[in-house]
Amino acid sequence: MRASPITARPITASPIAARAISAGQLSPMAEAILPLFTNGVQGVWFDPSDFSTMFQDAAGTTHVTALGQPVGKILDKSPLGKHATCPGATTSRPTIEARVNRLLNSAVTGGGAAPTSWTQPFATGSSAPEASSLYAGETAYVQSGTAQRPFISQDITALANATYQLSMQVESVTGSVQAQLAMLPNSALAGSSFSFPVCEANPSGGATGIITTGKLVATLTISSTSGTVGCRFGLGASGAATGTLKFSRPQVAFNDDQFKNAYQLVNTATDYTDIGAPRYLAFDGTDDWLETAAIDMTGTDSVLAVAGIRKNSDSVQGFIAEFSASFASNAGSFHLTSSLGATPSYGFSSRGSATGALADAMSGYPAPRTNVLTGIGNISGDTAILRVNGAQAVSVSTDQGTGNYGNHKLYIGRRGGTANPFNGRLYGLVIVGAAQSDAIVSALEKHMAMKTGVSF
Amino acid sequence: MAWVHKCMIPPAAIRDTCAAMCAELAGPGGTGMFTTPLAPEGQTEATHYISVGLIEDTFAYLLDNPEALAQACQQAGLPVTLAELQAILAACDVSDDQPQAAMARLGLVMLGGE
Repeated sequence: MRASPITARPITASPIAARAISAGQLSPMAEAILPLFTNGVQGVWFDPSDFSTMFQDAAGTTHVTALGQPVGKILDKSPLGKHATCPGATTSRPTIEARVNRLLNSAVTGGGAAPTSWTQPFATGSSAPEASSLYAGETAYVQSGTAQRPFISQDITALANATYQLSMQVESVTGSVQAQLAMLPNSALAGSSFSFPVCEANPSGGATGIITTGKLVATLTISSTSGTVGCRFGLGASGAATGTLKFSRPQVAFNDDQFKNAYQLVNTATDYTDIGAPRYLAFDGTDDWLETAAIDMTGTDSVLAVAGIRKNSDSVQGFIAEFSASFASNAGSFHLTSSLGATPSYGFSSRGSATGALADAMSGYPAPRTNVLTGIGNISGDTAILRVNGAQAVSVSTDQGTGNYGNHKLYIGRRGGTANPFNGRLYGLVIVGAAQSDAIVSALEKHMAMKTGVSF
Repeated sequence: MAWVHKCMIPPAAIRDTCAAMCAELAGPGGTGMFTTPLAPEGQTEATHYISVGLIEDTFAYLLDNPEALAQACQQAGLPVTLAELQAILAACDVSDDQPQAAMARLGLVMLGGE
């Protein structure tokens, strides 16, 4: 790999960079990234954590102002202005998210016996919302029973191979209520399992541990079969129970989410609190995508692509980013993929005039998982390297042919805007059309790790 | 403007009709819908198409209210009757589900992967 000195490069003015510079707010990372795009070096820098760069519509007239909104346009933070838009229907726009709690109406408000978005399958005993004893302005649920089952339940769509943390705040309890009688998934998914670690409200741990006040935690592990899981909260979750239980703040979060222990109030899928979790563009795995205008990389045969992603599924070869409508039919192309069909892999491919080199890490990366992916391509050197979380996963030296990269659109989230949709999250994307030093690659990966919420 | 998440799955036979209506009623924001083909696992020919994501609440309202939809179509000059609209809506699966949940419920998978 050739080193590429950057220290002497001036920062080219761009609306975003100029705004930040004039305000004296250019971040250290921006100071490091922006010079990469000078001296004719092409590329893009998309940062979904920055609301000021995103619009709800493709025309760029209505700013993104809150989590849960669609993103029809995201500005390129590089000085080159290769902004990405979704030219399709509103349903094809990714959404800006920072969702931790998978439940809806986590405040368990309304609805009498069964709050909105919840069911009450047995509806025996007594059950009523009440002001929380611990959290001003919040609602708790009080349930009482004598060998009865007043618990409430909400279905989530559980991902294959995912591990979830279920939790709730036990505000008060009378009677000897076992942990499994207060919180349990009703899962018919083959191979899934459930456990109760030692926690504040379950000091002995285990399903039969007698709960006290505090935070009750359980872990749900899904096998290779995805599907619907009913998450039960309240008295009688696993069978008839006697006692009184007051609880609040139910939550179901991915167990590997760094914010899983912070409660997130969710009203609806598009209305929830921002608890500071990393922001991401959510691609639904069916029809979401963004694309840029053509980026002229005909002056280089080297590229560096760094992306922070979480993939939800391996069922379809999802295209995180592809330079051209299709790598297969366009010379001077590259792409990052989230899987190879049913294979739990990641991929980076690069090509010049020849079919190209496919740097596919074919095993060891099953969804769901969160990683920083780095692709390093060089056509004349026949180099295609895929790095995962800052370490090289695979390097191939298949002949890539001749020539430089092309003058193509960059597609994000869907091949050519029509096929192979990415099902997952994009925390950030930096693409630079020039070879970079190991130090710069590492710095970009560390930056993306911070944006993505992973450490390595 | 409020956004509402909707998952819409029309049968292939009326996909073009549904796409044309969305484009006519919603303008650019409704153009290009139902481009992702679905079929029962093992089949290669699309039996359904899916669009899922955020739509404006005014259009979500129309999906739940055929009379209002008929009125909107009339104002847009679309030659479709209330009975026809009711038949179209009845043939489509419209839900608040995530796409994977809706497809699983209907026994469909995506086509077109490579």
